[in-house]
Amino acid sequence: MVAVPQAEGALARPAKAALSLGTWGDHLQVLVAPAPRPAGRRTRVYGPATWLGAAAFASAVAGVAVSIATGSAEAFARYSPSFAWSSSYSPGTAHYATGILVVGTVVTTALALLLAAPVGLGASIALSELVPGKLAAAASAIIELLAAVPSIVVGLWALLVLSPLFARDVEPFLGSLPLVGRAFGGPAYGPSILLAAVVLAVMTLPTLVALARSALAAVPREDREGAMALGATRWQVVRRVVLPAARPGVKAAVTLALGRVLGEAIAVAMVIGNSPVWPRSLSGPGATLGSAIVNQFAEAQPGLQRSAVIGLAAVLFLLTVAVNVAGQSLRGGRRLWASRPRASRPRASRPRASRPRASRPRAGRPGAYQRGACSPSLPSAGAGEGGADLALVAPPGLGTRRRPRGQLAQGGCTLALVACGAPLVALVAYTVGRAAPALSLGLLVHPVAPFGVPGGGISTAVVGSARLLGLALLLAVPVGLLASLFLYEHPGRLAAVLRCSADVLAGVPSIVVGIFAFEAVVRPLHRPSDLAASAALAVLMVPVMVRANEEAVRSVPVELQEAAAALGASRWQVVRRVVLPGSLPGLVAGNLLALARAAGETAPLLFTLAAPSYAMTMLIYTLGTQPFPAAQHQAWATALVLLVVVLLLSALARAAAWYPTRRAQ
Amino acid sequence: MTPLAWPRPGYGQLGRCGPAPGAATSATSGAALCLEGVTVSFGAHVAVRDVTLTVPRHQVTTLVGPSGCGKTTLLRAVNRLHDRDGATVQGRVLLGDLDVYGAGTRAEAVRSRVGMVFQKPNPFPTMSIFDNVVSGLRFAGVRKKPVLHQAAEVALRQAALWDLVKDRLGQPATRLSGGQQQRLCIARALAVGPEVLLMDEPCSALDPIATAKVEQLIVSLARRVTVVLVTHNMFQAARVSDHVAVVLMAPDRVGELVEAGPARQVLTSPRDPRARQYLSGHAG
Repeated sequence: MVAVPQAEGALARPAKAALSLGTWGDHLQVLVAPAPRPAGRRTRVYGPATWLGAAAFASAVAGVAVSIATGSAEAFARYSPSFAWSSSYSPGTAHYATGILVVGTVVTTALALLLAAPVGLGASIALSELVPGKLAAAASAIIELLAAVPSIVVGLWALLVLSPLFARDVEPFLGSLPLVGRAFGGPAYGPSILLAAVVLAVMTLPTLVALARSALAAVPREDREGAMALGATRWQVVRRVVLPAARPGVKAAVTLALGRVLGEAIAVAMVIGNSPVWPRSLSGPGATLGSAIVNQFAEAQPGLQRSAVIGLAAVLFLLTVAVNVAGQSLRGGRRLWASRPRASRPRASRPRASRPRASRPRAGRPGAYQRGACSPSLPSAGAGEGGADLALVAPPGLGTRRRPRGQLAQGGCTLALVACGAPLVALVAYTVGRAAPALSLGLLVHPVAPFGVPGGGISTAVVGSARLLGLALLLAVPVGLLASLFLYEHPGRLAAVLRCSADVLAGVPSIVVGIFAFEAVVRPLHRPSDLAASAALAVLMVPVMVRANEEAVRSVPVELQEAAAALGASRWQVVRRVVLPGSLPGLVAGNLLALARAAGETAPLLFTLAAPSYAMTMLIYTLGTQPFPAAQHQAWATALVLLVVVLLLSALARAAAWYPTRRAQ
Repeated sequence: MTPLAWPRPGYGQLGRCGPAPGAATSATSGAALCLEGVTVSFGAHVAVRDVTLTVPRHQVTTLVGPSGCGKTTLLRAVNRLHDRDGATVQGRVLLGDLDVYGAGTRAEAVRSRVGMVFQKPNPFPTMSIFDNVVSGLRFAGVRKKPVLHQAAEVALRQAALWDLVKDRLGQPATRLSGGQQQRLCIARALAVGPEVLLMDEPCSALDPIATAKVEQLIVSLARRVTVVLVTHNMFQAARVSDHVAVVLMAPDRVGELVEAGPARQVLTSPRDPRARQYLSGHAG
């Protein structure tokens, strides 16, 4: 390949007299290009492989939609269209009171959001604007980490710790309040709509805070500094500049949190009381679509009854899709139904001077500028032109006024940050506290004992979870990677449709995905299996992976790809040698986050797993709802192991994302 | 100053250039590269129109012109980098006897014969110095360690970088300084043994000392490889070029080749009035 001496060209051209060649100009060895190879096997396979990945992904999306549609077709055909809002409850005739469930879902969700949104927004303002840098970074990292806390652990905590507390203290107290009390009337149960809303709020807060904080942090520093230079206080900067600019992002964060709350099934089923009646009191029991599916699906007879439960899933599916589509269009800063793009900062750009109070200057008062009272040392430019010598002089005392409202708001935000962090920290601390006495080496190595038999460990569930997740990764990682490379390589309508369906699939409730796996895998195989459960987890992971992977590969600079292409690399070689290595940290981080999310999922395993002892989350659900302390201890121990695993995965993902910034130094 | 005979037909003029494809060409003289009526457009916007240019073998040919006139666009048409950025290329580009945009020509085959050095140094950040240099050979399927090592040494020596990096070939390429990174990129382009080296303002991101080194390098490289250089620095063009082609913006904001010829003649006494006006404004 490397031909050695004396190239012809080297002698054909004399050195320029005017320029010294330096000592390095004297190498007469010449490198000769290797003969171009025909396109390699991998290069030829690359394009079709990405198509295959996209097809697999598209079929997963279509599979979810089709299985829900066909599964519920019988019920809709029989009771159409009244099924979607029927309020009669008689499982024998496959009436599940869909209307009541929808109302229950909406009420629970609204209450949860009412609790979460102000606290989340306040906390994100505190993190992004008020708390000093390092502390805020640490707090943000902890809160983002806690976003991975599985809903089953929150549910367990709420059922065993909050529920008695609510029944004894919280609900009677709320019921005794004037005015508000009416909404909390009736006997205090503990498990209630209120408790479900609290659980949902706690669950969704970390995600909400993380998204809202990044929206606030994305407001350019120049904007803030512009306001500060005008003498705005810290709170005025937040109120007048940052919040208006970040409004679309914050709205989108709330909507996406709403989507997650809407679809949560397991944690709600544990604490809402599960009675499909019109909600009369917020401290009374209720039911949501998700909780009803959890409770009814296993008992439903094949045929019309099961079809009706899947019908509930269909309604839930449509609800979440609608919410998520709305959220996506908000995040894009545009409305789907708007004919022209809306102004980016409607509030901030409105001229304040047009308000009458500000336009009427009053001499001698703070906030008003004095006219003509020019200081003598300044030459006045238009002195001869009578009346034109205007100069602006700040009135005395401007900027020294205290701003009690701002102080109050800042205090409120800091309080919200505490209110946001406290339940999460309490939850983790409580889990550790309850699990520590139960946790032992024996517990970890012994298999789960059959129900009713005392003793036994949790090793079956730990191993089972690992097996499920491993299998799910095997299914999801190749599809996620190839599908994202397809999106990367094919700009165009098809990719846009796929990208959009990834967003929709990412918002589909996990219980719905569980039903898909039941319809697609369990029914054809006639029994629940690891494969079915893994398929469900894989379908949950894939959309998250696709979008995260695409973002990662897109972050590799075009110049590097062109450099490789200019060296004769085929498209596959560019991807293999430049794009994938360059985006590896992002790819690892995205896939690990998806894995962490899947590790904490319970709902998709409910109908697909052969036995509850084959996964940690299912074991927690089964044992935690038993009224025996021994079973509950075991549930806590399992919850701790699960929590450690999930938080470790999540922390690893953050470390992977952080790695390249370290290495660049 | 120019020992080689000019390729006679149509140097910088409209019309056919070079021998017909398939005809035997001498390995050491004549045109290394021919552009024939090349037009590059981005959608409806035409960036460069109808350029016909012959690039003589083993010499430095420089494209000069104001920024935005399409020099880089033209350069990228030579190694088909426009394949993926949404631009369409019309006309013919001949690399020796290879029709670059011919029906059966693979872009990779073209690019393994044409090296390119970009405006900003862009070593692969995930690779070591050594891996960077031999990456082109690896793309081409060369796996033998001794071959790669020898090629890396020769290429790095040619790029005047060997003595600096020979003891730390395994280090990440990002540890090098900007000028060293650019020379690494030159070595990387040389390692595949290209016939033509395209250099797109290779010194614009460098300090004066590093610039001087790269300029000397360009001159010494022209002994064994045909260099096509893009610069907007007229002094640089004067220092390193054997031939100069002037690309200017036509009144409709489309880049056009207005004059091409031996460096001294074009830079000191251009025949085209537009070129004369431009050069007197910049170099005079």
